[in-house]
Amino acid sequence: MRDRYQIEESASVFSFKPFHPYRSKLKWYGLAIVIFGVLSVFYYASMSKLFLIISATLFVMTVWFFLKEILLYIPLRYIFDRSTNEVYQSSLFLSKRKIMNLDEVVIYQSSEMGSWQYKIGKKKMQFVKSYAISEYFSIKKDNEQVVAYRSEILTKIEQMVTESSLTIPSNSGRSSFNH
Amino acid sequence: MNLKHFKQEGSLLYEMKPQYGSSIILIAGLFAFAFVGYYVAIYGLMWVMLILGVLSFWAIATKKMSIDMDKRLLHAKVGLAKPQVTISIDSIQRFELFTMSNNFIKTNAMLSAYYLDESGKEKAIQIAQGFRVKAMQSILNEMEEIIGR
Repeated sequence: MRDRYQIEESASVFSFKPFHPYRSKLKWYGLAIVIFGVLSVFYYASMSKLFLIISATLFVMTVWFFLKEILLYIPLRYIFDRSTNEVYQSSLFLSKRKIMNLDEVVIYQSSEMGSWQYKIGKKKMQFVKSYAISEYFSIKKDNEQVVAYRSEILTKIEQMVTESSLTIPSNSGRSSFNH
Repeated sequence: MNLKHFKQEGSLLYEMKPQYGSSIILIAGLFAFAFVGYYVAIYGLMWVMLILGVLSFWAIATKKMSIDMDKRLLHAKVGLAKPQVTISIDSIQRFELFTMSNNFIKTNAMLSAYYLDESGKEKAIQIAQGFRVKAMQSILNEMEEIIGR
């Protein structure tokens, strides 16, 4: 379970990779890319234009989604730091960027058609600028993944957020203590 | 309190202003299809669209939501079939955002509240819906300001 989200925990820092479980999907993407690639070559050789367009489109789409997963989603890591009262995001291209203060984090559920995920955002603007902190879950209530995610990650974050908002008055971050 | 989406009636009663934006487009679209059905003489289409248009107009006209901070209750009437419900504000568990996208473009956003009914079962009720997530955010912010969270 800890491997599933690559959880790293110390006295003040809690960090995890929400989309790490998507690695198991990659082989299916690979298979689809090979199939559509071969089909495209086959239809290109046999000069059937309509099927070539269909298979080439599917090929490009699967490559696009594959690259998105591997470059953007899977390397994504969130770092919740108690000692600095900050939340960071690190990705393949940007390492450790501050996204908000820990005490202004709002966690909410965001659903789309057929699936939902947990997101975080700054208080009062959580819908406008939000960060996904879980993979997509199916709409079926209380499946194993959701229960595991809640106990391993969500409760920890919630606990950190309530703790930090108790010690530090909201609307004023850590910076107000520095001068 | 400076409110954009709610109307204050009395000292502690807040009524939500009707949100027409998306509904007008929906109803206009349905009536436009009804007209197309009439124009090309497919009367089945015309009647279906006409009935749907009237029903959605009725649903939007009867939609009501008010917050009574004196008794800490939320009264809501959403949709045609559902009766008016009264929810205790303290039983609201969380808010959820529902978005719908077509071809990677967000086309619909909906804000719902999850609450516990008398038997302790979790239920959802739609608070607002529109095109933009920003509008949902400002409605939620106002609601939170009213109920003091």
